[in-house]
Amino acid sequence: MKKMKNTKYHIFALIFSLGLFSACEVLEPEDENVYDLEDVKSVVIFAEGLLMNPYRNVIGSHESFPLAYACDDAVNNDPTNNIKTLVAGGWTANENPFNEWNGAYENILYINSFMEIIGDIEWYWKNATTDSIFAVKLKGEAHALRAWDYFHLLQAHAGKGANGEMLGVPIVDRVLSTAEDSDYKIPRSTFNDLVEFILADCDTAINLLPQRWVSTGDVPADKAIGERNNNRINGHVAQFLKVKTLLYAASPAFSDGTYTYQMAAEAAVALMDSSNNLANITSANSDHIEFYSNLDVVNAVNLHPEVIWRSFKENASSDWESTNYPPSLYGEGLTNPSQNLVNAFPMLDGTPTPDSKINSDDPYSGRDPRLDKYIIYNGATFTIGAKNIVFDTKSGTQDALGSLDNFSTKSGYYLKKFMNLSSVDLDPTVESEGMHYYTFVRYTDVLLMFAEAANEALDPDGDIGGYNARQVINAIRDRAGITSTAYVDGLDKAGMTELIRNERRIEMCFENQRFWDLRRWKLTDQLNEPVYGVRVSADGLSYSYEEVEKRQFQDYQIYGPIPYGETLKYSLVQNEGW
Amino acid sequence: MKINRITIKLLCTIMLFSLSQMIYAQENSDSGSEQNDSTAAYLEAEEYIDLGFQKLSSDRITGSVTVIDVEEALKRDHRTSVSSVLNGKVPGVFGAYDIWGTGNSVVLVDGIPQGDFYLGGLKLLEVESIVVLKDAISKAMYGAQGDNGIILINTKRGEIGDNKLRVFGEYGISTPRAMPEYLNAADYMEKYSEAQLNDGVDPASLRFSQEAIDATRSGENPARYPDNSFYTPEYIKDYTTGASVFADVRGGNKNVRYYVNSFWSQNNGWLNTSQQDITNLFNFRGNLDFIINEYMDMSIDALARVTQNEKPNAPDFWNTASEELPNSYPMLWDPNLIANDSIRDFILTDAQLSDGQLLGGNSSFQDNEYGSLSRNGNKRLLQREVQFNTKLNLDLSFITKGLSAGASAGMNLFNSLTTQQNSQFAVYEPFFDEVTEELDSVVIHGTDVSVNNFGTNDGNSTFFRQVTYFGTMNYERSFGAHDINAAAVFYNGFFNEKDEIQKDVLYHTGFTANYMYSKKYVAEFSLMGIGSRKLEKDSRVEMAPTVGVGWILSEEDFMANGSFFDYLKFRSSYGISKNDHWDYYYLYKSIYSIGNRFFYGDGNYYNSRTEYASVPNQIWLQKRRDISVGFDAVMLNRALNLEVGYFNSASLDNITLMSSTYPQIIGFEGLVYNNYNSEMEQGVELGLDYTYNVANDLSITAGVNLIYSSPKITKREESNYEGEDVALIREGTASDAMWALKSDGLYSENDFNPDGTLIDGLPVPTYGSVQAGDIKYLDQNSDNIIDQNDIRIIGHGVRTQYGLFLNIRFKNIEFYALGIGRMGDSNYRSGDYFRVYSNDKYSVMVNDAYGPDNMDVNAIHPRLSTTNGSHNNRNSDYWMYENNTFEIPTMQITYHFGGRNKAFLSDSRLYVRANNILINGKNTQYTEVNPGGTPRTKGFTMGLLTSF
Repeated sequence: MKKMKNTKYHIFALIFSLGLFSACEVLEPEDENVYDLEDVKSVVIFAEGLLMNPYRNVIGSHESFPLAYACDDAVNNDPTNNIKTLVAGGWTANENPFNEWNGAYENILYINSFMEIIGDIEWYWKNATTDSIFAVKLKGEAHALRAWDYFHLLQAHAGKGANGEMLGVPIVDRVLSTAEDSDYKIPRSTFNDLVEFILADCDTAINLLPQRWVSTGDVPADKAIGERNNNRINGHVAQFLKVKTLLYAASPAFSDGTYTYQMAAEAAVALMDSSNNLANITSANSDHIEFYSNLDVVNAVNLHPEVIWRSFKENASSDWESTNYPPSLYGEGLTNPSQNLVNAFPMLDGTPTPDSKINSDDPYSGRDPRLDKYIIYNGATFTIGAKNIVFDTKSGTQDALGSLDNFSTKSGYYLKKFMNLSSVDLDPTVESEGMHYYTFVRYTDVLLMFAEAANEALDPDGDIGGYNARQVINAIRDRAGITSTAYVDGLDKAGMTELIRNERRIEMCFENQRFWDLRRWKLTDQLNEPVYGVRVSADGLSYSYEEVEKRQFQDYQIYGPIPYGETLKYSLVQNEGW
Repeated sequence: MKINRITIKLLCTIMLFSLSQMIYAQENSDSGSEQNDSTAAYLEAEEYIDLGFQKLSSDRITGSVTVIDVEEALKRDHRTSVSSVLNGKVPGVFGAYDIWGTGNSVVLVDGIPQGDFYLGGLKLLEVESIVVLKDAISKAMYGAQGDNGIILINTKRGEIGDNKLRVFGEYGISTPRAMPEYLNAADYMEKYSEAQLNDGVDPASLRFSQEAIDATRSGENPARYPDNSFYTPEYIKDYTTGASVFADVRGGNKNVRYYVNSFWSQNNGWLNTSQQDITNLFNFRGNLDFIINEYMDMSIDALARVTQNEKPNAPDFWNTASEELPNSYPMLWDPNLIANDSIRDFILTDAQLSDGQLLGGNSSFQDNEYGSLSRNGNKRLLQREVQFNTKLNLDLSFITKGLSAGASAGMNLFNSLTTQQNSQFAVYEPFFDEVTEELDSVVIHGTDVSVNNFGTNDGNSTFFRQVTYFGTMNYERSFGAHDINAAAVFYNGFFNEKDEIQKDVLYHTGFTANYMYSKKYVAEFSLMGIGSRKLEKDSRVEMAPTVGVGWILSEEDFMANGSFFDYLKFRSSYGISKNDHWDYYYLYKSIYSIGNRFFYGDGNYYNSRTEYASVPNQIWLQKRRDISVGFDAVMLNRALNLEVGYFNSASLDNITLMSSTYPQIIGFEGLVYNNYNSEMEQGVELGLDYTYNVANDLSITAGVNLIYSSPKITKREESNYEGEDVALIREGTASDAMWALKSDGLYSENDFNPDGTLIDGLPVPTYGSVQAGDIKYLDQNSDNIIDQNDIRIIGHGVRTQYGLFLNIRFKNIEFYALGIGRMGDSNYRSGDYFRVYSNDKYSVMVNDAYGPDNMDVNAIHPRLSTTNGSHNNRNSDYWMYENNTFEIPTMQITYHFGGRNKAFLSDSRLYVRANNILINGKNTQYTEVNPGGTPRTKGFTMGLLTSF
């Protein structure tokens, strides 16, 4: 009987202890690659990894061109594209394809998190000099990136509030706590406070960052700020943001006089002087306007005067081309430049293209060479890989307006800018890919901003820092291949304003500018300009123009909305009208 | 070894309690009434219901439990899928697996939770019984698995006696109930022109000229004016067939019992192609029960199952058929049309012809569907599952009478692998001269590549492994008027999936005790400790208590005589279960993870992102609180069985992303979780059957199984709506509600000014501009615009399901019919078959659209448009239809050789069955077609089962 009792206890032990005391093992999650704050602080690449987040989501990368087909520069051929709803009156605080709120504030969280630990990190234990240079440049990058994100918030969301005040966005300069409501319910700043905040970040960054990432042979310094940092934000970008922010603040939609065109022009001069001023803006460098594929530009990376900041080079991809090539070239023909944009390109001698030329049977010859570089039209010739193409959009062909192919154009044109025609052939028997990158900032934008600001501050010939608007515009047009300055030389201030706006439109087309430019210029009557396309007769001898898409915007839509859902969480003032 | 101290204390208490119970029992065993000591004896007692970890006599059950005798069910309805014995046949269940409307329950086969693949292949012929556990007390022992109820399936096992062999064969044929109908090319072109004109396109600029439409309609030159149709015998068969063969053997003696089966089925697909379109399934199951010594017996089970599906290596045919326009490209065209001899000869030198014709296509359409089905090679999907489990039973009556223990371990493995022949083919695009109309040039797209071997694509392979083990201890004794049945369990299971770092872990332990006094009064109590890997260390186990009471009124003296109740029981249970059914493992602490790389230095350098993966959240297990009250009754001299109950099941403290509370400016608002949202289902369940014996050899049985359930959101994290918009608050509304815009038909021409703007006073929609024939939404919040704040509740989901059956037995012949009705349900006409816009393929729906010839503001389809349909193509009551249906899924006539319950050919029968022969409802025209998928079917099946 005693023995039996022992057996009994053994069995109890077996059944229950197995279950109960294995719990702590059984209930321990598997090891994952996850880290706590101490790990992040103790491993340099983890700490720096916080700052990689805003780099992965750089606002302004244009994988597609929604801002182009939301303005009068283009339409797209996908009837289900959300921009189609937006342009037809469907732009609301609830449905906003141009909402930057969420992404920008997520980037800002990472930047603020990084700033909070930056002092605790030993960046380079092998060498104290390199360590301190690292700390300085990383701090500079953080401030520059934050300015970048806040500028994009300003562009997409700042505006006149429903309370009648000109407002910015909530300024978050630290990692917020969720403990108390008051910790995170931050109201929108005034517009000027936001501008001031961005300018302060820019100034900090300009002081801390090298203008470009250049290796000098000084080994400890090159380790931290040498050319290995290409594709990271730099001092010139911070200078650029200063110009851009000041120009926005001086523009009709936002200005209360605090910030002036003079200030914007002077900021631009600082950047022009520290770059190559106008030295490269000549007809000898006409290739630079194809900055996205020109090999001089591609290979010179951060030393090239034209490209101030871009993403790293992807050597083999074809996404842009498969989306935008015409259907006969096995693409989906998504982005279709408008007749409005085509008409904006002047004649080769710089005079505006007359209606008689547009209505002739030969509308594309003798035009600004940029037309041929940026847009595919009927009769355009180019090579794809080894194939010579004479492009045909005559009625009845696959690529024509109104063709049976759903990938055909809705405007009569296809996009050529950004396409890598020499490398990418989508023919299934070839399937070759090519080099691509996204250009975030280019020098020409600075020059155009200077010209605009200088002309508005003074007049076409008013000197600011040794430059004037007419001189800068003539240089840009000379580089583009325009053969004469006569037309520009004859313009007065108002004429110059018009011309600079047109120049900005064609030079910067498909670079996400015009949609917001029209708005900061407060050109409310141009927002609803219908988009036109071209139909080429079957014999190719007559060109007829037709309205292909209507635009329906309200005047209050010169400012973007605050996301509707956010306005429900606490008293966040919405912009007027939304 | 850290574990929550309180938990240890509680569990120790349970152990001590269990021990004291046993010791008490042992000490009092001499005074106890005599009971059969053998475990085997109570196993055979018929009124016992196997609840998995505990067997209880039906009198003592205080919860809502349904037991299905599968053998008996098959005699009248020989559908062999598991769902067919559940749907419409169990009170309180929607469909086959949704108990009380709380969502799909966990299905355990011989104690192991199983998924779709396993259950899809399981045949009722290999199943002994099914037990459905609906309420808190009956599912308590299943811990977190029991959240949505439990369905237990017990497979067949060996029996003592001579070898018994069964052979079964079945053959069935299915035909489509309805096929989608699309416009032919010429009609499509005409309607497309109407759409363009609606959009304001200049009549001179229409995509299709009248000339082209006429030429298409004439059909004389299909190479130039194609008209492809996919719903034709060239692509699909008129019917499909399925056949299966099954055999099993069972037998054994006192010491060893065994059961073995094998099963094969073959189902043909719909595609009419030279490539295979077929699915084969092979199944082998075997188990062995044997006695080791007088205290121990053991069982070993094994299963292996393989399915192989072969089909053309093509994009999904049904999808293409529902999307590709009829005039996109000529499917096949005659090479003799090529006018120029040298071009023709050049083309024919290399071309591989299909039925003497060239495959057509162009740069946008290189996936010629005919080519895809016939020339793209074959694709095989192989799925394999094996399972082993073993169980040891110990009779511990040497310790104290009525004590026994068991331990079980099981494992199953599943993998699937897709292999394919990556063949390619060229397509030929014909070009016609505009003037001579001759086919004067051809462009070839792609090349012909024929690949014979099958390549694997690792991305398409899946794998999972599941391990389950559990131990039980049972104690059952009677002491005079006191009956005790107690069980303790610990249960642990792991589920690993390919590419998942974390295993799903099930862990719970605890006990349940059932006490019955005087065969009339029952009290039941259970306490479970439920563990989770997703909680902070030291608080990973939480307790969940449940109670139940029962009262057998028919045993009371006041009911004893003259009552028409042969049996009447009141039962009720209340309890809590807990679960960790949310996705993330570290919600309770601050962690960072390493994300994608950012490349710089033109790709020569990179650093990975350090991302916030979690912030510290205070969380605990999600809860479910169940209440069940019911009566079970037998009346009218045992002719009428009735089971009726009320249930109330609340899902509480669900882990909720607090996305309407924290603003996006904090940046990590996507990581803030709380135990917040809660829902509740309540309703009634009813089961009733009545048997009328007309004559000695004629009896009729009819019955109903019903559930009504109404779901409600009791707590919800949502926006702080103000003013009129408080109507948008979801808390307090039905959780199955359909929220959408309300409409008043379509706009008429009278709603617009001559310049096309809406007349004064009409609210302005924000989904793009509108015109006559667009849906006229109603402004619910009086802000004079139509936007998402105007959505309101317009309908809801199924609230009631009832199953009606009729069973007539006359001599050797038996007739059975089942009808299933669903009520309360509304649905949207959705998908591009019912809502046609932009570049969609045009279905027959467009024939009734608002248009120049049909200016009816109540037309069933808004005006046609080539644009994105952003205004019309959104959910609203315009697209909603009432979806109440009554269907007859099965109707069967069976001939029982040698009588239904006779011994000769003891269990042999022949049957013919009609499947899905009737579906009745107001709007079946919307539910019967299945655009983009295989057709819904009806059909006949016949089968023969013999036993030796």
